[in-house]
Amino acid sequence: MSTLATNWPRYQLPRSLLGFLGLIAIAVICSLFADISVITRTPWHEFQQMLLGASTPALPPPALLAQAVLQTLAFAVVAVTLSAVAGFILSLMFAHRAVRIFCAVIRAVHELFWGLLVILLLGFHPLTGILAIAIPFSGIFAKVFAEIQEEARQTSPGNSLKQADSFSNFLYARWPLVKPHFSTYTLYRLECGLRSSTILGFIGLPTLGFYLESGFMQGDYSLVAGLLLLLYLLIGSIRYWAKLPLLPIYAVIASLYLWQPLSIEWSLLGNLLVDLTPAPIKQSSLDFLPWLLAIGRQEVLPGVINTLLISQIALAASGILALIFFPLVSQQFTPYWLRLTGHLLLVILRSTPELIIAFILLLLWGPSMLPAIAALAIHNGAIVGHLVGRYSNDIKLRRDAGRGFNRYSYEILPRVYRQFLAFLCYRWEVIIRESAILGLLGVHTLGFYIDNAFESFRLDVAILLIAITALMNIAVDSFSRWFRHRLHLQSSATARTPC
Amino acid sequence: MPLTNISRWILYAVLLLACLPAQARIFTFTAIPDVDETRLIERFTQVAEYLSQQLAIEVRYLPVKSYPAAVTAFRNNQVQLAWFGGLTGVQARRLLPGSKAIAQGEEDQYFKSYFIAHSSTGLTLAEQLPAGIKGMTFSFGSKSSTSGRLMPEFYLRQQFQQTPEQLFSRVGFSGNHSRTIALVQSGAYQLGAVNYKAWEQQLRDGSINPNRVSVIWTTPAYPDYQWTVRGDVDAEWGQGFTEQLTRALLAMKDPALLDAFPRSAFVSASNADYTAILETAKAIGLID
Amino acid sequence: MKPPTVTPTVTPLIALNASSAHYGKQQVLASIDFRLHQGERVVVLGKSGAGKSTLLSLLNQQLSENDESFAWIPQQHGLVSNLSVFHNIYMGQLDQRSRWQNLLNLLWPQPRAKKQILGLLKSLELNGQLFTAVAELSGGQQQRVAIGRALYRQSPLLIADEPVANLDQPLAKRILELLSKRFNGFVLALHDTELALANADRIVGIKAGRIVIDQASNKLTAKQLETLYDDVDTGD
Repeated sequence: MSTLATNWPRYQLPRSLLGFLGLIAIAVICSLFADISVITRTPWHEFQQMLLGASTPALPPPALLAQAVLQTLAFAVVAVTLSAVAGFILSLMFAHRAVRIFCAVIRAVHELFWGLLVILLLGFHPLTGILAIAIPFSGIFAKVFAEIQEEARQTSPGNSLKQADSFSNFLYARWPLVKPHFSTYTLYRLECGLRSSTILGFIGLPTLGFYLESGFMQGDYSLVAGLLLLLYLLIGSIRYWAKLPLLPIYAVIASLYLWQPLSIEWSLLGNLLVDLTPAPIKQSSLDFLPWLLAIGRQEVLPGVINTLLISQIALAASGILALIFFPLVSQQFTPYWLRLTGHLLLVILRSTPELIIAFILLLLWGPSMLPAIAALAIHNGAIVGHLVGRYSNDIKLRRDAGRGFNRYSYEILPRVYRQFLAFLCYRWEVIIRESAILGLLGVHTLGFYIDNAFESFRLDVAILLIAITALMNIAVDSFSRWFRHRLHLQSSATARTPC
Repeated sequence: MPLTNISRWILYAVLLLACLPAQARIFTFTAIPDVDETRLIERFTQVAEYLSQQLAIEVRYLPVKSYPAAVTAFRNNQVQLAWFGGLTGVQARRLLPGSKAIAQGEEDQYFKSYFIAHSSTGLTLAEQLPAGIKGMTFSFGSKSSTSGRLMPEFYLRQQFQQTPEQLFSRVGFSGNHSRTIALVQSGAYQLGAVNYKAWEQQLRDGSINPNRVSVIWTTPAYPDYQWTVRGDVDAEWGQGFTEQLTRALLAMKDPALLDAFPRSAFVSASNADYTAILETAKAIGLID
Repeated sequence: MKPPTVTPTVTPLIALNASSAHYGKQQVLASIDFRLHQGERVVVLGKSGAGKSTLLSLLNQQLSENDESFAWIPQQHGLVSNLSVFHNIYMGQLDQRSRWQNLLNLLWPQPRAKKQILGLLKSLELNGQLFTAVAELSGGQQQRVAIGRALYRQSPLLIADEPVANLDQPLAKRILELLSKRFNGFVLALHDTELALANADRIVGIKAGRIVIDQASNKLTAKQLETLYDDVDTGD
């Protein structure tokens, strides 16, 4: 070996850094093909109205408000409790491929789409709201609980308790290890539940979202501001009222509150089954393949491409935003009072429904994929930023560690980096799911075509497109798992992100 | 605004209660959410009271959030009567054979849409859509709106022999007519298509700035909104109920009531009046 | 070996007067009087838990308050395990360079810094590890990286808490000699009395939170120092 070679070793970028740079490179390539542009004209009138509204928040009268808040809370609490239980049971059977696929499918469909499907059968019964949230959440819980148990299995003293029966083994050796993670995650999920419950108001359920959508559609920005403030308050206060042992009690009270006799008209189920039958079969024609190909060419292909373009750009942008956001809420950088402001900012950014952020940006920038991408990036960047910030608080720095930018780049970032990337990977799937929803803005994602199908009562097409969305989610999920594995990112319990 | 804020909210509360499924069936109707909810609620609570008086039964209004939700509620018997647009009415009657269009507004026999444009386009009112709109950005209202989507799209295709996606650089769906106006007024979209009634009402309200947004073209007339009733109401509310209901609707003469729609009077209608809409929807591919 | 150069006319770098320190409710250090002058080589001895680390923290604090330049090696090394040896050592000079230069070196190490740090690695017997991630090093290697960071600071004064605890005796000896050569003065916490006597001008012995010995090392014997490790009177 020549001395020169030993004296001058070549530096190689760490694989995990290459991973993120790779994501950014993909995003840059995507943005070459994506429809991105800024067309500013005269948004100021509407913007002025919004600012005016924001400075004069208004709320519906107390009785009505109380009802909307209670419904929002009740849907969330009942659905999260139910899905935690269902998810736990499913997680015990997670070794079966069929269960894994089932869970992947149910969690791949957004709450709003579940809502639209369940409404067809149950109408505006409270169960619609509960199921719309509980079905996808069960799939998510099952996956996460299974992962937590898998990690526990590797470290569990159960390995030395082989002679005990599996139940005792679980109770003594595994449960104590997984319980804290289950508990933290379930409470995490409650925040998502509240957000989902609110969003379901957009399709007519009587939660805060119902009034939020009304206010928004009629340009009553004072009402929008008031309701959003309330939503921030609800979400910001979760840590004070949500305790795991209380959750079942809340759930029982909420169920009693929501209770209503349910009369399912079975004829509706018949209707639904007919609607779900593919059109060619219904018309007993043999044109099944052409029908499928036409949908594939006109809707699936552009839908998948646009969804991927938007979500890849949004993913990288979320990552960059998170790196900017997290110091705002980290004890390593920001003094207490400023940190409070940082927390406030991040709660606002992550709790405002993306649809509303996107609409504001649409007014400012005009129609293109940009408002949708930015809305996704802001929302997810704020969530990842919040989590990374919290993670960074556990770091103990040596006394002479640098300050400011040096501290950020040399001390903190390298230490939180893997965690950050793991968080981001978990958001990948979520971003794909949410990008479908922004199709409602007229960006031709899969969600746009699903909405079209619902609008024209082509449930057969809707369900086909939903299935494709689900497949895409599953594909991205396994890719992200492969990616995490390649970069040796721990899938540790702390890496799980709330929504 | 004719209603004070408080009373508006009390109305909401009443309506919310109405959302809950009824124990014994109460005659319920809905309407497509084509404009601001405030307006809809003003309009339809008065109508509920009126019908309740005329028919001597309890009548409720169920607000819904989207056009298909109105159709679904109708089909699932959550509502028995609906104030549909041309397209939603056709959709509903196809999904629920036996249901009938019974009344339409005087103006709905020859309804029209306005194409509106932001001032920066330099476009003004003309006899025909100018070829210059090619490549601009365009917003429809709701995807299932007759006046905000179906007919405008039909005339666009007729004149340019292209789909809107081919014709314009970007096509959006704002959700309702008020949003379309707001979006075009702000310049987010250069062009839009709206229900002419909604436009005129907002012009009177003063929420439109004529220096920013103006009408550039009016479509030819087409049939639009109508009251559609389920075919099985006679079985539930007694023989002759449909007729009684139709008479009550046609007899609506109170200007306060009619202004809320806004229509000058109601005239009788039949399913056949909407064949043209059905054909148009088929031509565009909105209905198989 | 030089005698302690305590000249009252020179202001000491550090002056603790009857200082104490608490950890929660428990008193860890009580009525500590301690002075450190420029160029002094002090070793602090004592059982684990006696208060050595706390004393070093107090020194640390006072030096920072007085804006003195010094290098610091904490007991846990304070390394960033995801970063390479190069970066961890480079960190010693972060505050002496512009943030852009630092950023550039973080992303792509520059030849000048590389050359300087390679030279350091040779004396630390860490050849060939320049771009190894610290997480992949053994405990002893990591300790030397922390020493490398302190050396790279090029400060005249070193405060170090057990800087050679993970090294075998001969290597520890060589490293301490290196530190003696490179730093004008230091305060080291050690647990090996022999190494202490060999490298210090002055030895401070702590027992149960109090300074019980503070003398020039040439006046002390290993025997005397062993009293620090007696089992009687375990104050903690």
